[in-house]
Amino acid sequence: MPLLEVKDLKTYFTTGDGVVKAVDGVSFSIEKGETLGIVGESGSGKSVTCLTIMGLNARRNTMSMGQALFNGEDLLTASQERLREIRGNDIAMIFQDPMTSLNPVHTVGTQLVEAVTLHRDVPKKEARTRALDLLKQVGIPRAERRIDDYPHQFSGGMRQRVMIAMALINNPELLIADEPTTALDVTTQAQILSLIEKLQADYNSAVIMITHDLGVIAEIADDVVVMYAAEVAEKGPVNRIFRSPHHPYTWGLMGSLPRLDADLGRLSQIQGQPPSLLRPPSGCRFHPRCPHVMDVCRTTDPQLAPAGDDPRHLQACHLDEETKQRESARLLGTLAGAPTP
Amino acid sequence: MRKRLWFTAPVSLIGAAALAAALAVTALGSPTARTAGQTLQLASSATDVDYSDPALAYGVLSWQIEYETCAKLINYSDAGGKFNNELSPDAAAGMPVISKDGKTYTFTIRSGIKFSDGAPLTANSFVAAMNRDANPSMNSPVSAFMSDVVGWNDVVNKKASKISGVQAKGNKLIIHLTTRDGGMLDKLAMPFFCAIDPAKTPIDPQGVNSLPGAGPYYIASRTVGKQLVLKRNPYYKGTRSHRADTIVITMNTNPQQTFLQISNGTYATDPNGLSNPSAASQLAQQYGVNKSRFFVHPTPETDYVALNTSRPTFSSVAVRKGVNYGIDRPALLRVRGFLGGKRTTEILPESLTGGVYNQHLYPIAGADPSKAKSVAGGKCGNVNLWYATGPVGTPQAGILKYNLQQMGCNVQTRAFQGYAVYTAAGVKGADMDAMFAGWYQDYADGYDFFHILLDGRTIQASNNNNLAYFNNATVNKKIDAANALTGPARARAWGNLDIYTMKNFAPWAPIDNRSIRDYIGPRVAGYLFMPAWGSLDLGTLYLK
Amino acid sequence: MIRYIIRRLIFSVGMFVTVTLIGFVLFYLIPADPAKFACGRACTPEMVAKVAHYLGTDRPVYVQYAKFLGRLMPVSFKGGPHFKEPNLGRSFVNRQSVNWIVGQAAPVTASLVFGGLVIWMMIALPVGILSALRPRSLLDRVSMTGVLMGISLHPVWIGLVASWLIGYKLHLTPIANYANFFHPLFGQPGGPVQWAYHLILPWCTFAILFAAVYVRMIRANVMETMNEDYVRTARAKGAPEFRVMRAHILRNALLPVVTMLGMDVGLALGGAIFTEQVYSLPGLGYTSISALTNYDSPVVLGVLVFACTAIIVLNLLVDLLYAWIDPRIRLS
Repeated sequence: MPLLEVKDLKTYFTTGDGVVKAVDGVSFSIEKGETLGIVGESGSGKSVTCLTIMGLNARRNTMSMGQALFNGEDLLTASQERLREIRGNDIAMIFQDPMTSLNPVHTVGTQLVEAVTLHRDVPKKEARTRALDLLKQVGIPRAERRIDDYPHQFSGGMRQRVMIAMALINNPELLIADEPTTALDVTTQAQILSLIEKLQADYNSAVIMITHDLGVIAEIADDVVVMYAAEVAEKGPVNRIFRSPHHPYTWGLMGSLPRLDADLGRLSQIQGQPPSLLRPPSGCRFHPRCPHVMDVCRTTDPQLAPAGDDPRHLQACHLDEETKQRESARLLGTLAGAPTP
Repeated sequence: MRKRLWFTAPVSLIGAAALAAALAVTALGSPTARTAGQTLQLASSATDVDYSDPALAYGVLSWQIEYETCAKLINYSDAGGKFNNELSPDAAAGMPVISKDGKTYTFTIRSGIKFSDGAPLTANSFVAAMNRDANPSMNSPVSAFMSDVVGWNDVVNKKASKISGVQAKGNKLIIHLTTRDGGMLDKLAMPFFCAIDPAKTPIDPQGVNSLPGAGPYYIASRTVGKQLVLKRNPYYKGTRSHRADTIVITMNTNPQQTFLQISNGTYATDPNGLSNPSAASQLAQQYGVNKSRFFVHPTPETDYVALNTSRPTFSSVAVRKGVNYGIDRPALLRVRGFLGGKRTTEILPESLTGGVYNQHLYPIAGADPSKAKSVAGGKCGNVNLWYATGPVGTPQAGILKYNLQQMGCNVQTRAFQGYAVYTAAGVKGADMDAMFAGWYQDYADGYDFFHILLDGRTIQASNNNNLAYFNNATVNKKIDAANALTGPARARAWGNLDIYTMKNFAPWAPIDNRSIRDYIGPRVAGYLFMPAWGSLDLGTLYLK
Repeated sequence: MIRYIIRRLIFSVGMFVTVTLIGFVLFYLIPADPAKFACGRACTPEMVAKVAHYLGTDRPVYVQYAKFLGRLMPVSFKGGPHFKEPNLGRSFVNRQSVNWIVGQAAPVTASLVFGGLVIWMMIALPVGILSALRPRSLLDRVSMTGVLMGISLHPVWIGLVASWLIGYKLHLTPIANYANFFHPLFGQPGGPVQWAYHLILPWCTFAILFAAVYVRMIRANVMETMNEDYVRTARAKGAPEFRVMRAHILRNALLPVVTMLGMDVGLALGGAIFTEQVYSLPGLGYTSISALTNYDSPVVLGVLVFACTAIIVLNLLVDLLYAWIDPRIRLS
């Protein structure tokens, strides 16, 4: 069975202005040791999806529906105690901003040791040894001294490494990384990504990588889920998505990538704004911005259906298959030299 | 005295009948058996005693305490729970023998009187007290009254170490004066002349805090600012009342809280008087006046407006008389609260006038601005009205300003903080035209008022008490004449001089004589008012 | 760290001198002559001059100030340098040693302030934290209303109403007065139990204002900290809620409380005046008010010196404490 299987996940927040449907019917699955990339704009629901799986949303005014089966166990109906057992132990999560994600008044060592002792009944000394070990693995120089330093004494990249160490210290089966490199500079970005890849191999963890950067997806993902406006627009194996995208939004995403080897003139943008999740557009949520919009798009929300001949590649769009393939090819023509996985 | 006003509680003049009734109600047999071992808890709200040293103590509360702790040559008696307002011999065997020229007083000291530590009281106890008072290191205020004792000023000015005019010969005390002084006996009743044991009361400019006493009580301890404890003098054999065994006075308590604490029995009473004057009318309604728990009595004090005769506006007698028609005495008195005092048009409190007293020299029913204007001759000038801010001073200034303006005066007010108004106005030439003032008797004689407050010859460069800066040759001669008399004729002379001065010269606009309102707790009995001191008798109180 | 302390000490001395100088000059400018007041009565100008000489008020103001500072310094150079006790002079009114007056009053104020501090923190911590955890709940709304009342109601009013209702009507506590902890005055209650019993109402009256302010501040701090990323990280690690609260939220949210306490103790010394007045507690506030109305400059200056010193010392201690517990400051 898949390590994590998300079925029709919905998360609604009740606010003073109304109900915000942050996640509205998202399904995907990931196998042991695989890397799944979730890509989308800000506000598309990618972070909330993972927070919902972990049970980290605020409990008041939040409604979650659907299933998130982790090794067959539905996390959405699990008790708080069970969730606490799982968090940091079987599923670990790292976050976007390493500067603020560590507690400034505890040493790095204390926080790492905390991660261990929360889940294992071991003496502090042993936990500390393990922490030291992880720090070395993530490449912190002079780890014996740095372990007793405070977070503000580390640079951004170093802090993210510490976060990664903290996440992996208990050998989780699944690591969820929510935009781990967005706040870092490009060189550090590359280092962090390769570190994640290496550790994933060492520990045989699955990784869910949330990002808005297609480049990151291309580098490390096995499968991709493209989210738009709280729904899944397209999903499938990464080479299929990149070679044969079947959704106007995905086309827009790829088309807006800058190129080093060609002069494209102006970058093409997807026209319009991301929609409000309080009052999403009727029918297909992308229709106000879609250059290929048809009447049916305004009334009926398309469901996920296979794209072409690969059953793992699904897309939600009313356009017929030939149009999609034609568009896809046209796009890739202009994108000759686009990053290929 | 002026300084006393700081500690004065309000007093109202009800009359001898009421006084007698109060005495009759409160005079009881001899409950000493019942009250043996009692400790009376008192609270002095918002103030401490100024001093417990007889040479320095000069406040209503300290004199109230010293009445219990002192043996004096002559004193007032509260024997049997009744107060006698005539001086009678205390430590002296009898009234003194006065020489024909009035310059020599001879007292015979009774034998067998002991201080609270067992030391005997002798004529020397009084000689020591007077020498100590005159000592320049002590700086005692009484020196200002005693310049007519031979040799007193020599000690003050460091020309001699002992007063040559005061001697002890065996059991006789002899005092020589430079001139006849009809008020000397009253002066000697002041607590400055408390008998002391010189060994136990050293010269100390800070003032001694506790000392042996030859009265019914002695000051056992004093914690400055906090507490004073009186204990029974085991050797006292005299007739003055002493019911409680111990009297504890807690100082500087909050007035409102003290009122509540008296009501619930934590304290027996506030020796300074009702600590919460706004409760007076409610107390009168609830308990009646001078019946069980609420008492109102006159004090020997006058509140008045001084009119500066040395400045243009009030240099005219007509304008000054006009003011006496124009001020609203009832309104000014109402500021003091229910039963706060009795209106007056005279300089002296009634008790000092020998029966010659007229409350109606000028209208007391209210202001009469048209009469005031016509008496003043239709003109009034600029008036700088000075006052001390406070719950009484500020409203009174407003009322008087209005009264003067109705008369046609042009009024500017100037506010001062407390005592500073006296200091500033006491400087000769100060630009004060009118100010609110008060004077409390130091001793029971009109000279204390006239000589200090209205005798032009006492005007000096600063620290003046003659705030009207009044200097009239005729009045000065009459002061000297009255001062030469003795007995009832003396008191009557003061009374006549009072009426004469107010009718012809009106240097003041007198307002009222203050009353003291006393409130005692639910279990307290034995209330006795002392007209001479204007306060309640600590020695007669006890718990039922 | 040592340099920091030295710098602070120098600054403190400078501030101390400035404050006392201003106080001194202000007193000199008031148009009231303490010698005349002390002499009172029908004093001739010669007698007043003698009193002035005795009190020292006839010297020029800078001489008086120099003597004041000289008395205050713990070292004396007369007959070779040696330590001497700082002397605050003598009261103009009752000629008592100001050292003694302040020494009697200070423990009373300290009892009130530090006891009140304990009570206000005991109220503010749970109420503030719970309100932050359940914003806009009934508890939160009630406590915010309470905060508004606590800040608006004057301590004198609260004190009068409380002592009347609880002390007088219900007989639950004494109405007023102070009971000495160690040496009760003759015939007065004393000892630890009475001391606390007499201070219950004053503590609560005094604490209300500060409790209100601190509830609001703690609530705001906790609410803000609850949204911090590292709190989310802690939960993501699987920490139980109470651990998240204790080690992560409160540990950070309450840091500013330490600094505020330092500043507020200074404020509290002043605010204690009202509570002392209402309950007849013979502390520094009460003493300085009666000294002010009597133009008793040495006592006022004595209280000023003491309060200034206390505030400076407390603030220094608090700053050091804060630097120690916040690693970001300690290691910079």
